[in-house]
Amino acid sequence: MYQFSTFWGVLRYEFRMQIHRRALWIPFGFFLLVLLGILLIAPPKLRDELLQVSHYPMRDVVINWTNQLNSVLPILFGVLLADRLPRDRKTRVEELLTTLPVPLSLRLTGKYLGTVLATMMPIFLIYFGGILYMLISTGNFMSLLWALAAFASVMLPGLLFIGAFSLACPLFIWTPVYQFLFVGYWFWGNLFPPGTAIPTLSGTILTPIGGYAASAFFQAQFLANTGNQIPPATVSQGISSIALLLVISVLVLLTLSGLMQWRLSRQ
Amino acid sequence: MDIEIKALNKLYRGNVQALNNLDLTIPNGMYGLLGPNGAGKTTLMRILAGILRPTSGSLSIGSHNATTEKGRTAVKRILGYLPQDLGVYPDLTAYEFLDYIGILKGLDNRQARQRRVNELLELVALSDVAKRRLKTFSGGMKRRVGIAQALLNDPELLIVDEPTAGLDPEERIRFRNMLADLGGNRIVLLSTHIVEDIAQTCQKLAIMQRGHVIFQGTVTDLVTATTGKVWTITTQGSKPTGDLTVVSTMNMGATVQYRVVGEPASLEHAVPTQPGLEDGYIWLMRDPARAFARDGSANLAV
Repeated sequence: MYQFSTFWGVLRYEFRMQIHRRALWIPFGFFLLVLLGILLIAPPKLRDELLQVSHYPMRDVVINWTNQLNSVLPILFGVLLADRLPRDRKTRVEELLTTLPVPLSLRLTGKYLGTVLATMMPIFLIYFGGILYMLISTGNFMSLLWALAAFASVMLPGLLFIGAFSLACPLFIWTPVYQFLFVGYWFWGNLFPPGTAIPTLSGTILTPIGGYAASAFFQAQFLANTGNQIPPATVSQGISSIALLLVISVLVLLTLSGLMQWRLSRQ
Repeated sequence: MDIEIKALNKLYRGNVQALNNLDLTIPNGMYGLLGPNGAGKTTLMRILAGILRPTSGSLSIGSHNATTEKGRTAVKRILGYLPQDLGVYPDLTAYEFLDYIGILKGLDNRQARQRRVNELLELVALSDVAKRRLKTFSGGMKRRVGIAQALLNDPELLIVDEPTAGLDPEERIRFRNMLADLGGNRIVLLSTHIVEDIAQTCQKLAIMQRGHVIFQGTVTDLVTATTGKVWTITTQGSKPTGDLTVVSTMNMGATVQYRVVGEPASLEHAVPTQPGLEDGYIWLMRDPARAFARDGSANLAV
């Protein structure tokens, strides 16, 4: 009971601190403005085509919207999460935290989930804003169900995966360097077309962009914004991709906790 | 509860010996730890707080062996710690910060925690600004938040490291009084290089130099050992000579009055003066071995 209430308290405060950050909302707000600008300036016909509301079945429209956002927004997500652990050192709270009886693993888990959920909020709002537009335009309530399923299976595992790395790596790499490397990784490992002279993780089961889940559960054929073809995936491949991302996330957090513990023991 | 430290060593990377075979017993109540910068006070505080691991030696806090992981965890439950340079989350309010630290200290009953936070905000006179973000707080106010967080779990061991450094005189007095009030049924370990802070709050103290404890005993022991070594010398301006340290210089117009500790070359213009703790500290720091050569009343550890 004590452990749960402590974990919940850490999660709540880490969520609160991240959600109140102006730096969290500015980049997502800018993205939204650009998106709205395109949609407002575009003639109605083009707007309709961009959102594909009246041309395709609702499932395809929703997964296209999911892929559109999932190709860009995780970059902001990873970058904005990267300072959470170094911040404890920068604000010099770390020393005080070390003297408290709460287990490190519990504090880290609460911090991870709290900050990941908070950083996910703008993505969630933009995503469901688009879904709301689809719902109003078509009156088709299936859009909501498809959206919930797509968010949970295509976006969420990738975001949890990115969150774990973005929390852990900056403890060992200078934050701006990690952010730079992360953006590079995103383009190389997710958006770079496979089958060229440069080897890439794109198109493999290990891509947080969620191509396998999109293909397996929603029969998506292309990654939005890139034109990269998604290899047709079976349901078990989709599940494997999600499971792999989640297992790696857990392993990264366990490694982080172990390394921090080891560091403490050497002080 | 007592703290027993025996042959404690701390060797940092690069072969820097911060603590050198340190022996010390700290009883219940207010206890002062005095010494110049670099004496090893902060290292000792950090070891006691479980931040640093000692290289060797034994350390027991109450019934807990604080050199083991299990012992350290147990000590953390009864510990309140105010670091020299307290960090806070600048975007949290004072209330939120204390509430968060309370959660991390295991105060899991929400209502009891809120009551405790409010009590402590009252104690440190910050109730009026409880809803203000910490980034708007002055150094003194942050220090008060620091003592409030240290007291959240009503600790049996309270460690405060240089709590008054950088505070204005009024804040310093307020802080000292607050600490003195806390030293009832717990160990309050006050580390500082400001002699006045110890003189005003502690009956017992230890003095450290270069990783050793060079004195442990009462303030009275130290002052008594300095009796006959403190002089007021008035001259036309020339500095007094001899085996002495000038503690203060006061320009009186035509003459200059010096307060010195040691043995002046001439006693012609020297008037014996009642020593204070600062004089005792200076006398001890000049030559710890000689300081107690003729007086074994204090527990000297060189």
